[in-house]
Amino acid sequence: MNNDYSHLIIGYLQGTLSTEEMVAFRTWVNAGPDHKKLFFEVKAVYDACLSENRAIDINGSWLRLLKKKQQSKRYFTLLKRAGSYAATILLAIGITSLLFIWIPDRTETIASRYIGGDGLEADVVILPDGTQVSLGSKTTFYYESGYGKSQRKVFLEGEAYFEVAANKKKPFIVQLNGQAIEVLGTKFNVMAYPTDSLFTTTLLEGSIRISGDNLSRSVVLKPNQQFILNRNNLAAKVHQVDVSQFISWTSGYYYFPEQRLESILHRLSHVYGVTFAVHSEKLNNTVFTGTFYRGQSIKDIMEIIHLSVPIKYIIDEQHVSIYD
Amino acid sequence: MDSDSTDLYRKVYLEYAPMLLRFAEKFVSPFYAEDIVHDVFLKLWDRQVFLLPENELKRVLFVAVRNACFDQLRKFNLEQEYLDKSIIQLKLDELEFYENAEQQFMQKELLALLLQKVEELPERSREIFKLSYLEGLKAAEIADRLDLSVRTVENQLYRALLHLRKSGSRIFLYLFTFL
Repeated sequence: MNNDYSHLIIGYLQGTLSTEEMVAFRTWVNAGPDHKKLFFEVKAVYDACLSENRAIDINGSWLRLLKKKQQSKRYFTLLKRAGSYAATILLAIGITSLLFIWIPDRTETIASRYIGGDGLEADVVILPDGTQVSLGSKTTFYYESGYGKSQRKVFLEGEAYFEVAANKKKPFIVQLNGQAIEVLGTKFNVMAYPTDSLFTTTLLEGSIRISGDNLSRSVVLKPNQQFILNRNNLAAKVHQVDVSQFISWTSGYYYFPEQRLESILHRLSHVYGVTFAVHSEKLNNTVFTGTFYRGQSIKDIMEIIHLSVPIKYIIDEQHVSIYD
Repeated sequence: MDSDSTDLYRKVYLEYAPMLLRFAEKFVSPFYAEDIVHDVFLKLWDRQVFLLPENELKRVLFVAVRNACFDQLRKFNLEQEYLDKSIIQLKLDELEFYENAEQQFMQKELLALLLQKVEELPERSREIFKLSYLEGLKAAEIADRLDLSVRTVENQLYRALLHLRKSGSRIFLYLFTFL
């Protein structure tokens, strides 16, 4: 029996491999289909055994499903009632800056709910205590009616930049799906789109603490640091960044210093609500530096990229295909 | 929504969702796993699928969840910029491995069979195995508690897994012969 790879397999399954051992594990597992098969079979047994000591709250899960079902119905009727003319009017005015939705009967505790729009500059919400929140595109933000009584708690899905009014007696907490950020007076940016695996927090001033069920311990950030968590494999890291590039969006600019096309397009897909398909691995890995303005159309942006690299592209309503 | 069909959906959900959740959690975090399973049920909600014969219903649910896992992993793959892609690739390969595995995976007594097999292990091996799975201890912690080397514990754990895998019992007919 090969001692080396039993150590690697068990270490991988238990999440205790060092960086070097991880490399060794990958080399072993990718060395041939029989290694992979062996690993998957062993993992299947491991997972099955492991599930024994972790009960699933299936009734709670069912109730959450039922709630989603009722919500989707409600939103559907709401949309139907509003009708397409509402959307036309918004487009005609050219501003969809702030959609204000009241949900009086479903959850009394939600004071107000905002959805970030597609205006040229970010929509800014000012909370009762003076805290300012700039909302990114396709972002849902709300707070409870008890906001400020004992604590200040807000909820976010998407991207937002916070300038929190200092108040040491009433902690400010940003509740995300799976993560919570606890704050004393401070400025920071959060990117946590529900469709993304990466959750990113960038701190400009002050101090924040990030905690969550999926983090083994909470993380405290210092100014100019960024925390990135992959919610899928729970890999996390803290590093130093140039913070300006992460908040320029609040004034309508998107600054990309030496970034791969793939990650630029990923960002733009949130801003414009379009999908991109790049039919060239080489292009995906090409590095660009550029600044885009929110007022520019997707076509403008494609033309700018085209200036530095001769790409071909086809814009088909909400979908853009890019070729060598 | 009338209460009769809600009862039906509830029954189906309580019956199959645990297996589907455990399957999805092999590939994505529990938070995404529940979303995936919920989405599958929401999509199927208004159709006659919930009245399908058991085997067909299992297949429909399993295939839908497996596909959704594929989609989610591919999406993760596109977003990966800072972190290693090979982890996701390995998960995609693992998903491939579960092609047509619904009969095997959606088997309720699977776990019971597995635990029965654990009882057949040699005593030391069984002890280590239980500390690992039932108490969730890492290899290093078990080594500490039993005054063994970490390597020995890892070897024992690995051998135990291999034994279970090779024992030729019904479980592994379920799990592997169709793969």
